[in-house]
Amino acid sequence: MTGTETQPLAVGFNDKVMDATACFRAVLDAMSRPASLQALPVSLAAPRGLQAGTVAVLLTLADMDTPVWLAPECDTPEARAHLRFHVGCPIIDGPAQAVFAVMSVDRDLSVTGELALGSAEYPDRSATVILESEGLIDGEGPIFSGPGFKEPRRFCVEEQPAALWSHIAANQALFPRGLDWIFTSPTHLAALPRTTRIEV
Amino acid sequence: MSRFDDAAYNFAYLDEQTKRMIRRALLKAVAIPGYQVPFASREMPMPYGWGTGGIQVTAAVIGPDDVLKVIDQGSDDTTNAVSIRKFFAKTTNVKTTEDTEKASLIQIRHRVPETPLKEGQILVYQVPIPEPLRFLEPRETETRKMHALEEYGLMHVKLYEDISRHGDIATTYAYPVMVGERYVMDPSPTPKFDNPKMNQMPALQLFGAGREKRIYAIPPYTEVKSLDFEDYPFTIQKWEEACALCGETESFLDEVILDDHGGRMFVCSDTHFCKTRREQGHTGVQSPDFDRTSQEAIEQ
Ligand SMILES: [Zn+2]
Repeated sequence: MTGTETQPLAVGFNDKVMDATACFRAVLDAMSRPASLQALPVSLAAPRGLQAGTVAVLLTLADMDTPVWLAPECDTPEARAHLRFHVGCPIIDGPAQAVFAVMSVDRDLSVTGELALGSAEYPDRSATVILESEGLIDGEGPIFSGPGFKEPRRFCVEEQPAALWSHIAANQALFPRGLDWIFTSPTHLAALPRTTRIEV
Repeated sequence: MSRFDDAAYNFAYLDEQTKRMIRRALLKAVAIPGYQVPFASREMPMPYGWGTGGIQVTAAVIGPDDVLKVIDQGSDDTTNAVSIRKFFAKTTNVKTTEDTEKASLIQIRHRVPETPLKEGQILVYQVPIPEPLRFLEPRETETRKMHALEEYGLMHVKLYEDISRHGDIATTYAYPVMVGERYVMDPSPTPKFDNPKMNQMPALQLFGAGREKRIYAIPPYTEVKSLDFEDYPFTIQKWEEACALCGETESFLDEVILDDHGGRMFVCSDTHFCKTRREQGHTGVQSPDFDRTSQEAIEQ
């Protein structure tokens, strides 16, 4: 962009308006039809620490009004620089104030206990967790049902820890409060809103 | 709207920051079916009564490949519907249609199309008053508390009184529904005739209230139950007549005055649905080639 030889910053959306529109529709589809895999509609460079799917979600939804927390495994200087430049979101040191929290799916998820769950009056004031993995797998794993399902669907992530689904199921029991989950990989995304029931 | 230079505004009019704010609200709305998410409603280049909430939702959702349909009271041709359709044609260049089946995005006011909606379609409702408890309690802090605690008893009592006193015509429009067994929701000023269509609908339903700054949603395949009572089960409006133009007996009918001498007829309020049926050869009593013998055969 500046014509210098080394450009440590990966590029953001090619077309800020249209790429964000396409990615939003993918996320809206994912949230409306939980546990369904959505291909990323754009190809994106991802800085070290973040998956392309995560970058797409944050470029689409995050900005200066939405503090983002990066778990240590995602918190690289490249990730910070990328989000500061392309997203402009505050990157905060602890999860409590986060609107979006980014972490690897194979970590200890007890840290999500520090995220905002929303209140009884304002259950929408809750964080959205972005869980990164190397791959999302269609048709295998737990059985999901609830709003957005004509039939139950199955899906899982590569190298999922044993406690993942019971951890998410405990959150779902808080409805209408609770976290919403977006799963990202280098090529796809999927979501589980707090309404989705899980049968392991 | 002619005062705007075409190049002076963004795709779908709204700036990207506003779209992001609305998009975040939409996702939370989908995650909490029937719950009203506050959002920072923006000024739009048309008055509130024209459905600025629905317009903002549509603007945040619409993409270049969408095919947009806009109806008002079932018609694609009212001033309101035409203005909104033109607004988006101009600011997004998307294709528009009157055909419910060909539309990917449908903005509606006062009616849900008769043609069943499909998976992948998105329905955007224009909502004037999103709070179903408003008539019981004017204070927002109190209605919020009632929703939080699922305090819907008073709502049931009031509805029961209305129905038992005035019969089921008392609440013909904006008849309250329970979404996903949790939130009582106002379906917007659609007739209660359309309530059953909202239940387990394959399409995604989004609701925008501009003046009241609320967004809410019903994901596809979600239970939407009209509130009712054992002694007064929920029923929809029925007409003695068939549509005078296409003979349909299951659609929502509007009364049309024909002359000064009390002449009138009933026709489908969904104009595209009615037109499609006529093109398929269906006729009604006002059709020039109406076949009275077949109509009598139907009636017997
Ligand atoms: Zn008709």
